Amino acid sequence: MEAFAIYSMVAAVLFALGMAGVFLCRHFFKKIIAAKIVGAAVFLLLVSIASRDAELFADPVPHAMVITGIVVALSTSAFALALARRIRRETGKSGFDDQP
Amino acid sequence: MLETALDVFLGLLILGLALRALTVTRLYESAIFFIAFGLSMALAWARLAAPDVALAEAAIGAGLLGVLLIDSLGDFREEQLEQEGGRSGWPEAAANAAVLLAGLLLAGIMVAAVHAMPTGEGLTAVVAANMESSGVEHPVTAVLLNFRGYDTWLEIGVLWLAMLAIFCVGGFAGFRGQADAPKPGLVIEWLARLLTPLMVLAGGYLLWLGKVAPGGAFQAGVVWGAAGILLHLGGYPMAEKLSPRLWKTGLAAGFGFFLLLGLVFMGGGRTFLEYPPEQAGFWILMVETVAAASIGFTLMCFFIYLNSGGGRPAASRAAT
Repeated sequence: MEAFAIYSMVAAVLFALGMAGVFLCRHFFKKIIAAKIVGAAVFLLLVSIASRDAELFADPVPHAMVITGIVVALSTSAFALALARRIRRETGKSGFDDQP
Repeated sequence: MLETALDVFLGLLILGLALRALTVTRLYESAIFFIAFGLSMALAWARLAAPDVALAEAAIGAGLLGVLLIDSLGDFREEQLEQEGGRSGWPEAAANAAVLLAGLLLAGIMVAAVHAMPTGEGLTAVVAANMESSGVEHPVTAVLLNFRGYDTWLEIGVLWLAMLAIFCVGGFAGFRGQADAPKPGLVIEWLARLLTPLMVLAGGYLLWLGKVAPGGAFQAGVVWGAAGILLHLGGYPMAEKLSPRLWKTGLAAGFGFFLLLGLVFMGGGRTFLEYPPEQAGFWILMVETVAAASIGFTLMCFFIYLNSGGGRPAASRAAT
């Protein structure tokens, strides 16, 4: 129960931190890292709920979901990195322009 | 008491590392902080009694993604200081305060929402009741490969889709290795020779262990993929040494085998991906082996493609 209280709080703050990073960081590289941090916060919340509701063993369904989620998050990050690198090579830019 | 202190310390460490990863000016430091963040997340999973997730996070979230991030720094090298130092990064004090306020508000709402959620037993009891017919003894493996085999199958599909998307970004011609690849250093060459057999063995062990304890197809697949990446860096260009036919088979096998097996059991009058309980253990091991190999191939493909200059503009590729 205590672990749940601590880690759910960490997850909430981490989520806010990551969201701030997604919007404030200019560089694509950091935006990708920020998006990964948001994802990690959601995973942390799921697993901390599983540990709160643990009986004989912790609820394995959220665990399985998080393992699946980690792999999917890796796929999307790899794709995002590929896009960022291509944009950088084609245009020399590594962030969004301020003026539309 | 001591455990609470440990949890609080770990939580603060995670938050601190995440903050540093987003605020440092040099991208290289940012990547290193992110890898450290991933590893402390793995510790948090272990504290939350989720060793399977800890293994996956350490191998994928920290290890493999770290390699991809650091590898991409080569493209972003020149503008790092100019871009991050002067005009960009985080805005001025007023905007900072507004963001801080909004962030605290968001975090507060989320904490309130989380604590308002009803406590229940979740699906633990359902899983426990059906463990006998699953063919394995470890609950997480039972959920991943049997009860929710659908998710795992489509997840391999997502990996595959991401690979195709990455190819689309750079054009398939990029995946033939570099002609001008630098000769690997002596250290990494020997490291590759020493570690590759051990990694193949460790991956196989994790795969086998998944039946009774934390481990399984994903963790094994990542370890195998990492072995391939190490070989690639150690002067054994996997893109050229393995035949195209083997690559294609390896990449398609996981998704295809899952699908085929599901359809065969469907023909036998069961629902899609429902194993006959008495043979479930055997089929799960088969599926896991093929899936792990396929995951290894796909992850290796991500790295080799991005590392060997896939996504380079056509003009500069023609020049090399």
